[in-house]
Amino acid sequence: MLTRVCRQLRREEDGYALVIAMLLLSIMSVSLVVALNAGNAALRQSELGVRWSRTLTVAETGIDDAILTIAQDRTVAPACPVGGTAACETDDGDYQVSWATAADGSVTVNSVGYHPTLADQDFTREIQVLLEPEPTFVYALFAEDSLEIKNNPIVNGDVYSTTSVIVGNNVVICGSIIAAGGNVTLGLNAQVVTSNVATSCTGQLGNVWANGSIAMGVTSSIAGDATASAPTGTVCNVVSASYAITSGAVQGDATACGQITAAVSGTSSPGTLTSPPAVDALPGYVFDSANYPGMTCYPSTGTCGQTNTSATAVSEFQTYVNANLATLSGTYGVWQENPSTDTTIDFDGFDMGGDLTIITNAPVDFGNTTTVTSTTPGELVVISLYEPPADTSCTTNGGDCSIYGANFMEFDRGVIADPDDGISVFIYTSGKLAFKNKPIAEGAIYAGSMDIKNGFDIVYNSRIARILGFGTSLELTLWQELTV
Amino acid sequence: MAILSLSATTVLAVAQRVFEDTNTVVDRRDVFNDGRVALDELTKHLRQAESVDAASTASAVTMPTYLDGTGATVVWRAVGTSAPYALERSTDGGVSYVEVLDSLASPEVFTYVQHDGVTDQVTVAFQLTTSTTVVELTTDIYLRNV
Repeated sequence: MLTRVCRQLRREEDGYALVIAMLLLSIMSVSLVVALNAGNAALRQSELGVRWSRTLTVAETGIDDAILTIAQDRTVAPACPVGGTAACETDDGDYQVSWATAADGSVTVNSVGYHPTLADQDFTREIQVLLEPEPTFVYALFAEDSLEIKNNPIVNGDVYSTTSVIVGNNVVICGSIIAAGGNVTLGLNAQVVTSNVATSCTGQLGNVWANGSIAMGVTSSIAGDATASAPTGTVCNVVSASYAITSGAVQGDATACGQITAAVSGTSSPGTLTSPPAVDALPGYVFDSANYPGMTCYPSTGTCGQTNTSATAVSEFQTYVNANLATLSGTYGVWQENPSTDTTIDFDGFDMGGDLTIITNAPVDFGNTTTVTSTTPGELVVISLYEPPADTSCTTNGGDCSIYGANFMEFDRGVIADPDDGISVFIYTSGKLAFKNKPIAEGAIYAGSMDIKNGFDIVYNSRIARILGFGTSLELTLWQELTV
Repeated sequence: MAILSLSATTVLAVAQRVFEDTNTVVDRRDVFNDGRVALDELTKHLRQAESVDAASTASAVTMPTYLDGTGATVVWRAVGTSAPYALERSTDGGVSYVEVLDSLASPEVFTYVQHDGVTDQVTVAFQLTTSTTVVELTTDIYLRNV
């Protein structure tokens, strides 16, 4: 009996061991699952992070693709536009990209990256970039010949001449002066400053750089550095009157190939050879209709451009101008057959209703324009490609000019300290320009030949720096990631 | 019975060790995850920044940047008197802050790199305290709008 009980107990113990073993195995299994899951979760989160980053790379690939395409042909439509069903594929995912060109030539590109694919997307990221023409016009005044500034004008911004610059007595220039082919002469009490409360000018360098001497009048001053450079190979001499900085006061450093007699607050380095300023040519203009979406063209038939002219282009456009003289706005190309002084576009007495761009091969005359206003802050761009015959003259009294303005051609600048209000003006001609009696503008004037009588007020405005059509490519100026 | 008891003890010890290791792994995972999320957001702000404020230091960076296309001044800073330090973010120019991370072993997070005299690259290094050790997350960010 006892033996049978013991046997039964042993049998029951065997079963109990099995139960315990299974229980332990279960615990072990649960522990293993938990441990493996914890490790796996960390790995999975790391992998998700990698995929999230890859999605941005995919979107950036779309941006790169768009930039390449736009550089080759701005009129091409995107192959896989955002919101469509087509996707551009990469190894790390799909992308869609679209772009839109604004009237000022800037291009906004949107690219959306999808991981792993557009059809089966786990991650989506969007990038938006802004492409703008590279800044070409960085000077308030640019002349391909010598430049004389006198009669107390307001000049805010840098001044450039391929030859020499003469600044009259008492003139204050808030900016820098570059004379790439000659001397800079400052009259009595003339000042080159970094800021000027009277003209709301701030943040300028106030440097003077000449490929020759800097001749300063008594009590004239330069707030920044003065550099009198000399051509390569010139033997410099600390007592030479050539390539010298004479009289006046330099508040920054002074470096000259010749002598320095000016009072220098910074470091004075006479007899030191430095490279002269680079000679900048007048930026050349090339018309491309792709730069001007929405342009109204005269003639209205055929491809818009200089090769498609009309004998009535100016007269038709003039009719439009006269009918809308108080609120002119928009973008116009006017291509006249055999342009001459007889086919001059007359803007006498006009006002603006917003941005106004005129590109023409005909002469332009602003007449006796009084203050030009705009209903909204606007940008006026006038480009005349008219080149008067060699045997003609263009003076401040008129003649055969590419662009001419008579008495008090003044554009509403708004508050000078506010670059975003009023009218910013860009006037360009590869031919001859003449203004009589003090034109006043915020912007820049570029001309192959410039004749301006009785001084002028010009306040450089960077709004005109990126005017289209002058041969430079687009550059990326803003990069943003948007929330999808 | 004795063998069974020994086995049970061993298994339970192993199980306990597994749980401890699991906790360690989970802790590291969570710390890494928090760090990664913070790093993603900080990277996004820096990548779009137009500049880095000159007053920025190794423990604080101020930048004009964009939040979903809208300009904003964003500040990130490490605060605290001893480890663990907290990482805070302000999207209103430093008026108010939100804590993003609370496990920094060092407040020195930012290193600035200049090219041609312009700060256009920032290295961000998070030294993160876990229950057992300090781990580091590092990234170099090129400022696209400088």
